[in-house]
Amino acid sequence: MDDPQATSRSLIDPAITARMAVQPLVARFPMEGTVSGMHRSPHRGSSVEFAEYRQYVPGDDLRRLDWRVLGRTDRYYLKEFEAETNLRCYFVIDCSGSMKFSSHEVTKLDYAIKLIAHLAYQVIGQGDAAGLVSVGPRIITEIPPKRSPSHLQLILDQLQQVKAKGETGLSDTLHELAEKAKRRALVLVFSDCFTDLEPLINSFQHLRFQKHDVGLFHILDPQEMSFDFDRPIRFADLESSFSMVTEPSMVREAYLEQFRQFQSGLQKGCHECNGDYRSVMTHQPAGQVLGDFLVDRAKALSIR
Amino acid sequence: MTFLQPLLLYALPLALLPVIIHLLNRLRHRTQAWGAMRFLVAASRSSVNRARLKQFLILLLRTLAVLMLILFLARPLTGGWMGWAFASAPDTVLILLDRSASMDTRLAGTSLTRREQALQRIQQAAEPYQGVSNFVLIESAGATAQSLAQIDRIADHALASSTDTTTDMPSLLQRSVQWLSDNQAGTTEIWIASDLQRSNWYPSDDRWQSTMQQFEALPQTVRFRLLAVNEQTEVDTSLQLADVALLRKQGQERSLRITADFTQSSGTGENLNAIRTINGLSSSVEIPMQGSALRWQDLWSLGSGNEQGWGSLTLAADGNLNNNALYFVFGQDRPNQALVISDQAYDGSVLALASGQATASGWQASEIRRPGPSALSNLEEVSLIIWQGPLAQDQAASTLQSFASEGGVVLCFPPSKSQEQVTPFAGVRWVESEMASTDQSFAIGRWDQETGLLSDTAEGFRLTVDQLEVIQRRRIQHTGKVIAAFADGEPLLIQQIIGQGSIYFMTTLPHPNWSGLDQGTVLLPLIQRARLQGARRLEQTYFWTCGDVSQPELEAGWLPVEEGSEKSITEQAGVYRQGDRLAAVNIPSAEFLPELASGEEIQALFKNVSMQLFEETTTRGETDLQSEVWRVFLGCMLAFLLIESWLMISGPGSTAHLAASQGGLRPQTRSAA
Repeated sequence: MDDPQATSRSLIDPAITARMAVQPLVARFPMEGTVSGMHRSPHRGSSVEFAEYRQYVPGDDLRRLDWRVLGRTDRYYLKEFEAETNLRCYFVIDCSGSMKFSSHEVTKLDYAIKLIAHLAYQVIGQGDAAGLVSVGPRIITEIPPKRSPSHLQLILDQLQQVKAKGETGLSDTLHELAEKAKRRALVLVFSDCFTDLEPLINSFQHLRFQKHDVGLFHILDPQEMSFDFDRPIRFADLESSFSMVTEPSMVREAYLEQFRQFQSGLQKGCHECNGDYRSVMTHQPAGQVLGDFLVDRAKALSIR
Repeated sequence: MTFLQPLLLYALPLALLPVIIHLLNRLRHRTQAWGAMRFLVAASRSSVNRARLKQFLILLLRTLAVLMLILFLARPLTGGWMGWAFASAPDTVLILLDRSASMDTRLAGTSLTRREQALQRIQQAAEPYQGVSNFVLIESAGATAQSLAQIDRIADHALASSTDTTTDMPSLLQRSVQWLSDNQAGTTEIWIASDLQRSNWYPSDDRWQSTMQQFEALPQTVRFRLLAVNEQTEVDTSLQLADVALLRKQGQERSLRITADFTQSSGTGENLNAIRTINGLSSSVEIPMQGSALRWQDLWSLGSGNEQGWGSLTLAADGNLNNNALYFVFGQDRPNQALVISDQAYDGSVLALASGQATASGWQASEIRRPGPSALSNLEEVSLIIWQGPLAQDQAASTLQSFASEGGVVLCFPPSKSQEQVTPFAGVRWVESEMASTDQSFAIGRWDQETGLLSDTAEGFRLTVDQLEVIQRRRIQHTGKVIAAFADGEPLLIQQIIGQGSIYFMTTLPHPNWSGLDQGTVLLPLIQRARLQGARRLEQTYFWTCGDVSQPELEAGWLPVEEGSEKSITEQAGVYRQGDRLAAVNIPSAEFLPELASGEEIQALFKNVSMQLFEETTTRGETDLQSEVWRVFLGCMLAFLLIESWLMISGPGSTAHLAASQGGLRPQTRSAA
């Protein structure tokens, strides 16, 4: 009998985790965790990180009074310090039929699973909470974020079982998640986003309105972007029973234009709502994608 | 259009190969699971029309390229540059072959004559039409139309051989239009092979216009192809008989005075070696040639006999063998007399005296007869008729013309009084007389000193024609040749050649009231020469031009005097015998005129008809009349393929564009803001 743990652990590539270990996954915005951690909190706390000066009012803790400022200015000011808390991370994976497409060995779904598995490993490994939401026409499974190592196993097991099927209900799911998640969290979406653009952007905006940090891994196959077919083909839709025969050379130009417009619209929409847009191709090395993601996040945080 | 490899045309359906492949590809589509269907559907809605047009163009260009390839491999032929574009083989090909003597001039640097080269090119051009078109040869010598069963043997055909005749091209074309009209041929091509000699083509002749109109009026389509074999030729010296005179002084040997014109195409400055032959006996003679033209005169002794005979003068072989010989004949001495018809006593007596002859008993004047019905009877021994008075009319005119055509000479003097309007005689009509100013005379301007009745003597002495006083003359309307003229241009002596002889018209009288002719210094030699000339009438010898022998004579059965010779009197120059008669047949003088008509002149003659002139010498291996146009098809094929390639690679979304952009769309990553 297969050891489920062994199977799950096959999702994790030690080389990738080793590469990711040098840089933790951080949130770009202050998070609300349940315990102290390494992520900024919107509230003031007792960390060593100086935040700001505040004028003394009767009742404040005198231990926080800055005596040097008093000596120089004869005025009473208190030092405020950053509060640090842990990260709650939701991994949202699109399990619609279009994620089943592949022009080589790795489907978009497999690629998303790999990215999520390693990010979940990183999040839980750094003491933060990770959860999983798999989305088809509606939410298929939902695993709330937790910090324990056993929770990672649960997530990995669930990832092993997801199947791509049906249409996409991503926008509705994100709206639902925006309401469900009580505290600020990092929501990372792994999808090809082959859905109506406006509702999707709206869902991102909803998440941002709820003060969540939104990241989108826009997963695409190289052939979807090149459309390099050379003879008449019957294209069968992966999400429905629709099919059509067309001469690729006749429609290539227009197809690429449509795709380009969609992609730029999606990117612009993410940018406008301060989302983190990343376009990845399934033939790119996962380790490099994840490493770049972590580094970019850290850089963005240091700029702030 | 015809093809050298027509079997390849069976591969023409292969031009549909791109279409078939395209259809097969469409049927053979595979199924591809696809996630980005929304973009595909949107793209199909927006771009299919333009893309379909582009696809159609690409398919069309591929089909045309294959078509051009097949046609190129089939080696298409057409006249000149698409001159006969896509025209099928004609129903009939009429070949008009110029067989004149000039066509046997050898081309520079080759061993071929113009005629042989023309035949060679015709043969090559006719090859693709073999078995398809009917070939008919109309040659210039006899204008006979001969159907050719084997066009590839045209060079060996008897009607394509060399002749010593001349060509009348307008007449030849009229013959061909007549043939087309009689035979009701279908689409016809007329191939003309000629050296464009102006004296053969008669560019100014009125017959061209009417002939071209006849071609236009034909119901079938007629196209002309003119092969001009007018390239540079080898150096050629031609020899033309100018005059031959049989001389005998009383009691002395006869001698023959030959006057010949030598013309060289390019002056070499070297003397010419010739062979003169009389009655089969040959001797060599050196001709001192200076420059490119020479009039040469020689006196050959005939001995004391009185036989008729023949002779020739022949040059060594050069660029044209045909014009290297002249032929002549001479007859027996026969008693010949002159006859004077005049009603003027003084004039008649002077003329009778001048036309007399020496006899044993002294000088005997000629007979004088008064004009009348019987004036022209018994002319058996008459060689010269001197007619003084009103122009001969009716029977008298007819008799005189017959007399002249037989070789006799008629010398007409004007009436002393003006005539009423009468019918012209021999193209001549006397008009009013005129007197010179007081104490003056009409000055003589010019006369022919080289040949004819007023020529210089054999010793080189000039007749005193310029010293002739003329105080009264009668003006004349004529169509003849002016032998002598006054200084003001009015003619003094006119010649009309009639058959074998001539009719001369003198515009003044041997009367003191008219001129000083009665003094005899001009009149005597003039009349005696005329009498000598007219003596041909009494002889059994003839001088004819090759190709111009009358039909009755042709049917008489003339044979070459040389035994074993296969010459034909209709086509070859030479000496021929028929019974007791001898005839010298020489090349027509028109063949000695070297001027060629220009291509532009010839083009202008073929108005409103389709004509192609092939004038340039092409490179070896190519035919003139038919030129391969495979280059056109090859060029078209390459052009179609280039355009098709451009359509394939042009525009965004094309294969090359996709390759250049590394798969079409770049993944757009954005660093976390």
